[in-house]
Amino acid sequence: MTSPHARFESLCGAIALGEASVAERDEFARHAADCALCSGEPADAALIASITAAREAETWRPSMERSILSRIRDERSHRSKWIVGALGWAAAASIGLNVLFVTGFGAKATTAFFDATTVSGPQSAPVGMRLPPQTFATIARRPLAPRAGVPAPVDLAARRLPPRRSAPAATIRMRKPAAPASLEAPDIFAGLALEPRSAAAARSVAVEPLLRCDPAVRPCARADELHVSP
Amino acid sequence: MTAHSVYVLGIDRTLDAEARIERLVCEHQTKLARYVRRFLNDPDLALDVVQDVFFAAYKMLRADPARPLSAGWLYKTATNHSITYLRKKKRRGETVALEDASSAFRTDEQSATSLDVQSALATLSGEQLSCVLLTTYAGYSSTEAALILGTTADAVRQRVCRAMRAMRKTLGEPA
Repeated sequence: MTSPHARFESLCGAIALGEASVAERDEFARHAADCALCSGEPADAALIASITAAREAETWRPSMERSILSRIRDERSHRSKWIVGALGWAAAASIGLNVLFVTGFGAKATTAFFDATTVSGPQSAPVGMRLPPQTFATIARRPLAPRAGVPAPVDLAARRLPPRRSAPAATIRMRKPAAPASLEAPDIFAGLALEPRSAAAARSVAVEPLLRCDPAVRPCARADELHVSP
Repeated sequence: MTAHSVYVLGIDRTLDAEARIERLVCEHQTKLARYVRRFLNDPDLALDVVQDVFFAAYKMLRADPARPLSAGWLYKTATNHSITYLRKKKRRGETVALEDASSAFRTDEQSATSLDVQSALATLSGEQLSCVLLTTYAGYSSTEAALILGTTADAVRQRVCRAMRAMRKTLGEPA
């Protein structure tokens, strides 16, 4: 709820602006007569009228169409230039990347990167020496110094490796015996008229013992019969 | 002009953004520039602010061509820009002598009334100044000014009353 003084100020403003009704003017007059604080408040539109008169006396007529429209056009052209430039750069970057990948520059660059890798060698290589990637596998790991009360560290890499066997005195070559002619794969054209009937029959007979593996019919063929190397 | 028309009555929405801005500039540039000049007491700065306001309107129309745009939006934006500038100026502590400020006015406007009114307006706060100028220079009613400023009509009337009181003190009239 507004206080009577705030209401009085509102009525005063309405009268100054010329918006007050007759009832509001009466309310203002009643409050001004009763209230000692508000009794001296003049409620006229004289000051507002002077401001309005000052406004009417103004002859300043600025013209801004040209400047505003030129600014708008500049902004539009700037935006279009930016868009065209961005599209051009994107197209150029795309073409460049395609050319790089087609010419294989990417793989060369990767190799060059590894070649240029510098590491501090643990034992044999001096600090800062350039080492090719093949060297990394041959560098021995520095063993950790054992300390009292601390169990010796386990080299997991060495543990995972299977024990290396001593090389045999002479290399034994397991040679697969040559398959006899009778064990060659059956000719799928055997039943055709391209070959005499007797030859096809002889071939099928030669293959027959190999195919009999049912113990109910006959003992299973031996390994030497099948000529399968162990 | 009703309170509703402050925001709804605008330029034909079938036009494109540039044409609408052109028409807005033609219709409102003079009133808006005078309003802002009284607000800031600097004609060059007023022109810059008005240009910024129209440019902001153009960007808004370009983003949303169907948006209603009217003089009320222009005055609201101009008021906000002006109040922001006055606050910055107050923070910086810049003071301009009244004679220097009035010298920027045209010779035929350097009447006693104009100078006195300008000196009295310079003493008001941003809120009081916006209420007084919207209701006197822009010609809006207290209800429309309240709609533009985002407050109530009673608050606008109270600010006008307090502004009148302060201006009377400045002008040496009995309170």
